[in-house]
Amino acid sequence: MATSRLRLDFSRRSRWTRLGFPAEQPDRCGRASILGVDNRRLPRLDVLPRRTPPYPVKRPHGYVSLAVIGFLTLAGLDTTGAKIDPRDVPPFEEVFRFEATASAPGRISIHWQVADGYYLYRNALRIEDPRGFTLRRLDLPPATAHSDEFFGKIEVYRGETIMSLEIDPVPGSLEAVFELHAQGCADIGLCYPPQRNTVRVRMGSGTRFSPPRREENLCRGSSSRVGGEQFQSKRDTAGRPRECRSAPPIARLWYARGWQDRRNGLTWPGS
Amino acid sequence: MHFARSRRRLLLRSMLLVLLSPLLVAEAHEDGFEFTALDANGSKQKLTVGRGTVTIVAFWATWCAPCRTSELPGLNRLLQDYPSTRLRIHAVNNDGDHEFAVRFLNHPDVRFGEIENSVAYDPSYRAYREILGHDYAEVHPAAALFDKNGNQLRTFYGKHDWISPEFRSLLDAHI
Repeated sequence: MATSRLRLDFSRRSRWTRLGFPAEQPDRCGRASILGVDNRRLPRLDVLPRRTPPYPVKRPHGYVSLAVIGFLTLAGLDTTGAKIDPRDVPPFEEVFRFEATASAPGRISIHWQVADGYYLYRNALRIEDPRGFTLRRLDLPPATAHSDEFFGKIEVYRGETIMSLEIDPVPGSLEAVFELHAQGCADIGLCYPPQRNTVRVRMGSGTRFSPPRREENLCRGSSSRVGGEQFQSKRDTAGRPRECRSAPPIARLWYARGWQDRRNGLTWPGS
Repeated sequence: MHFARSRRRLLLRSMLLVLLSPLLVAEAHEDGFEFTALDANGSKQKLTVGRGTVTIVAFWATWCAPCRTSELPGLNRLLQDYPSTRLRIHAVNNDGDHEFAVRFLNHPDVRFGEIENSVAYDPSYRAYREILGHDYAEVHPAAALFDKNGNQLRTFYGKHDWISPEFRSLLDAHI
């Protein structure tokens, strides 16, 4: 045991031979000589344990490690996995934002903002169940032709769009309530279910239309703003009513800075 | 020296145990489960996942263009290539009006083939959320692949090439 741990090394090039026996260089113990003998001229005592044992050693660990690394690599490179991470898919109301306002007497404007890479189907936009007014006409702006991989040419809206409603308010009615239906898809090949939003707009004469600001769209898809007054309504998707909640002021600040958009990888036209 | 070697061996064995533990846990799972959906008549039916057969649960809707033109035809091809004893497919429809979806499938112009016999209806999205979770946006097409014991192997969001060689080799590995 002692011979295996403590042996004389004549063959291996030591630090001293590489450095050419420098006169002032101390040895590894910090001493220049032992008992008056310059130990730098003595053969080096190698007190380190031998790296290779004197018996043949099988190294199964190497193969195991290789197998583990190969398994992990194959798992990582598996091409059959999901191409779209569900965590990267933002909810409908974050991608398709709208705001309804009484832009003029007898007119309601719905301002849509659609994130880049998404589109709304023109034929899926409709108004139902009007309360407090009679719908005279729904003006949809010209849509862009979209060459759909599956349906051929269809009409869709991208970016910013304003649809307007010509209405006859019911006398004495203070607000207009209606169901706004919409449906959209993403260019990456997935679609959101048809959405039905209950929209409430306070009737007001001479109210000017104001495009939505980001921080006002917290309650996206179900908010309306007239004259600085915020209305909130229920969102009903596929038969699942959900109350729209407003966020605390600090969250509004974060939303205003586009934090959520960055988190969801959303970009907006013109930004 | 001997201590160092045994310590290294112990470390490697524990690493292997950690890596293989999901498989051990999977083995310990029950052999499958059931979920509820509607049939064409609107009656509740229980659909089996696992229990000795690899299962795909695919969610689709009539308003979903990729579902109609890519997903269902692809799944139909799979049904043709794999016998029902080896592969089970549930094509769960999520239209809000399930009767509309039934009429859609019965329309003479709509021909999806054998996969039409595997269609179930889930207008309330209950099965969707049960299988794919509550945390993400409910988009279509979406699907999940389960092994023979009902353990979820993969989820697929967006259109997926069901007849690709990669997916077939994945399927063959578990069938």
